Amino acid sequence: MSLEAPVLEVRGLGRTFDVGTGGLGLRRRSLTAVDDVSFALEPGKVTALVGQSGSGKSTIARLLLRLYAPTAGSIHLGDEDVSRIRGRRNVRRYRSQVQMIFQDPFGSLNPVKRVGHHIERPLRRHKVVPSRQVEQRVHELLHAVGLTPPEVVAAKYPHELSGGQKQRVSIARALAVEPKVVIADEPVSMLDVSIRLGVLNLILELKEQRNLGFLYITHDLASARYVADEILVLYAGQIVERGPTDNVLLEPLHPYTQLLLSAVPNPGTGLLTDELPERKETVFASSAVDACRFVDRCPFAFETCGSVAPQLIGGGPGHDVRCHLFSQPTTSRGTES
Amino acid sequence: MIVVDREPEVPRTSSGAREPLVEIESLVVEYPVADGSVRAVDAVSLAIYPGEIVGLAGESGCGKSTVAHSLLRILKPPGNIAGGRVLFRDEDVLALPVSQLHKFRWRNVSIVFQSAMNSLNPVMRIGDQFIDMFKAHERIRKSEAFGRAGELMELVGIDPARLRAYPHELSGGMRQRVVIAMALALNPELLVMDEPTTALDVVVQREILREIEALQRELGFAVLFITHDLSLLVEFSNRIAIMYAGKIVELAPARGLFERPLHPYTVGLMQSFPPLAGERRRLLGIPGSPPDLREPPSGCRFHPRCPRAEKKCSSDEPRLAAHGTGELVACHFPGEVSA
Repeated sequence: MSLEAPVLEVRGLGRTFDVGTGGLGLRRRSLTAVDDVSFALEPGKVTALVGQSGSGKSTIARLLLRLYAPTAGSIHLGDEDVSRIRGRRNVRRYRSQVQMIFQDPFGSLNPVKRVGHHIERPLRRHKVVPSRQVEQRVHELLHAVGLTPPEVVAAKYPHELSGGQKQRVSIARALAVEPKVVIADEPVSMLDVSIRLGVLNLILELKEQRNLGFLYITHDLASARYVADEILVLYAGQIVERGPTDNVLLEPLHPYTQLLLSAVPNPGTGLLTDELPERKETVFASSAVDACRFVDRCPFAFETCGSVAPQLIGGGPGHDVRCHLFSQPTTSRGTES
Repeated sequence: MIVVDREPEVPRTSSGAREPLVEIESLVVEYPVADGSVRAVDAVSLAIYPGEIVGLAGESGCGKSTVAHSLLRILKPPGNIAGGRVLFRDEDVLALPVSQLHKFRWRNVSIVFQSAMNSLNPVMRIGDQFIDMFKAHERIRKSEAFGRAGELMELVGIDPARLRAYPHELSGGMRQRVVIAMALALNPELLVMDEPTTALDVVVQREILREIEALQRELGFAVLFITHDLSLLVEFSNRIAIMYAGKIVELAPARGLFERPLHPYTVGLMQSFPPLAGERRRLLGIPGSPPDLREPPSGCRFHPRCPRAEKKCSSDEPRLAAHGTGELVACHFPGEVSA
């Protein structure tokens, strides 16, 4: 891996939610949405966090933005532990370094404010440049995200822009405070097919030019492969596999990653004839404390999987997997020796 | 006017009849706006044969859902059908009296929507919703309706015991299957599916598509499948129609379209999906964005975004015409581009 120091590092991050109040005779339960998640974002690199809905990927984004406080583990920005920061000023300072791009460009811009306003506001609020330079900086940022001519775009209202252009405004807004880290939660999934690539290409350009640490959150493996240097596969709140993009996607180790890959439509390899393992219902995350969380859906599951929770272990250079198949050298896939 | 009457590459029914089940002829749908009207669907012609799966692909706003809604006459005002015909076995659907529409929908053609899983009544058990549906269409005893509901649940791979469940007790994928089971309840000859799996995870999506394919083989109904996901359609359908800005720009057998796309828009769409295997390289997609239909571009509607555009393209509108065998394309310069 690279020698560069990570800009943002997450160690053993966890978040548990209480579900059910315990009132009315209902049982008080807790749900572990994120469990033992560790990763590092490096400058100039895109890390993709891939998972299905409900896997906890948006919870991780909210933890990183300090919209939720973690219940376990820590978040480090450079040398500073930011997981317990308090106070408006500190949180604001943190957010000037970690910015977010949201999924829905139609909902994240104020419909009654002009485009320029959205970018001006963080510039003034975080005092990025002196007042008299604000307008010039707005134009520079719009230009950087490919919205030209900037003077014209800045004067428009969000409804006058297409979905792709709105998402570019969100990106310019995120970049305004010159963050070290940008978190993008499904930034292209609501855009039209033909303009998604433009936004993905912009992400690729910006991470290089601005040396950003970039977390790209998605359910779409193909777009993750397109932009990411490293991939983290999330299942039921845990990272089940991680490694360099092509190692993970071309030689997937975890049965869940294999299942995901086999489900992606792929016109190159023919019709829906290939066999998928028999599907079983997903287990409620909180019930599987001492077991692999994937055990009920796993075609290779054996005894240990139902009684011991697997740890994330090395499966190749820079490539880790959370699966018992790889922790027991005497055990080959699916068959006990 | 071009009437599309080409045979599907791989007819899936054994019946020798090649009469189309549905024929859409020069359909025009308009939405009134402040100064005039917008043509959301402009002279679209498409035939669907018994037992085939036809894919209709395009981006949001291209008119693909409007075509489907017109076919079932469920178009919401202010949209109105301004021209053309829709024939179902030689019967003019657009002229059907309202009293017969009730029968036409569900018995002849049924539809599954994108958010169909949310169209179940949340405070009613699944079984009761089936019974309501049967009772609305025929005189049937409750016990018999319940029995048929059980068979349908089995058909889509859900334990009939779940008929006693409320919708919130089922996962999104299971609810979507329940809705598909309901759509198939009266043995329709055509099932229209409008982005039926877009809201679901890929793993669930694949399971449901395989189920639809198996059911389609068993029961022999035709499918009109609408999506923006071209790679899904190539796997799943016999023929694919590509729509852009209210018009069909290419119509071809699925394999042929994948291996040899003719329209530059189709080529661009294909290159907009990054591959999961092979070399990782920078892709360009399609520059610009889809046109505002209030002021559609002159000539070919795709010309402002087209890499092949020449002078002619901005003045003359290309017609959908045969190119090679079995393929129709609306382009002055159709054919493969060298990558």
